[in-house]
Amino acid sequence: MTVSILTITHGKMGHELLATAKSMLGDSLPLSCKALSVSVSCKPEDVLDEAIEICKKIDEGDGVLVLTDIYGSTPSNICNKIKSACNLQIHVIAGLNLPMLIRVLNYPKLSLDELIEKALSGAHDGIIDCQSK
Amino acid sequence: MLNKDLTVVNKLGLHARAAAKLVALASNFASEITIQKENRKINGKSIMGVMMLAASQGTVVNIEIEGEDEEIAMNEIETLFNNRFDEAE
Repeated sequence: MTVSILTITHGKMGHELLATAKSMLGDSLPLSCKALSVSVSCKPEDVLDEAIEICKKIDEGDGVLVLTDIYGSTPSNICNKIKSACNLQIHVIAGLNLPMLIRVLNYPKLSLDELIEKALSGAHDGIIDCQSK
Repeated sequence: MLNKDLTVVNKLGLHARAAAKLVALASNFASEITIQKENRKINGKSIMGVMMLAASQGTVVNIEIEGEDEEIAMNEIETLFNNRFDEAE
């Protein structure tokens, strides 16, 4: 069993990040991944329902790591309601970027707790002032 | 422990897909694999680590491998470098 990944982001950002990661890693992803878009016109409660359904579907028993873009935004607020709305092992991390996603996908055998650490370090380490190199 | 300098010969250098290939290969081995460029030393099984080297074409990196399968690991990694990570140029 492995951890599953759900991105909940503004627009198609999550879809594009997953597609990019897929092309980088050789056309397949080592973890079960889904992306959910939040548009200006959608109802947050509908997206929450959809997110819960997706989490139930992709969870393989080891939990779902939910990745969102900006903390405090509507996608992030939706993410933070998933845990209390379903009886699954859910952990939400904001600040999604490609380095975060790639590092997570680099360690498909890790537990949810271990992947949380990888996601945070990947995102942090991926932000670099290129002029200082 | 084996130690060898390898040159990145493919045009795009150790870019994302090449890094992913290198890490996928390295992860097949039980040995510890580290890659060093100048004074930055990283885990050869970490894609973000490999990409942080920002190794462009012509860069020489030092590969250090220690473990039970170090010889075959070094051979296969050297082949991957020499085959330009299976890229055309």
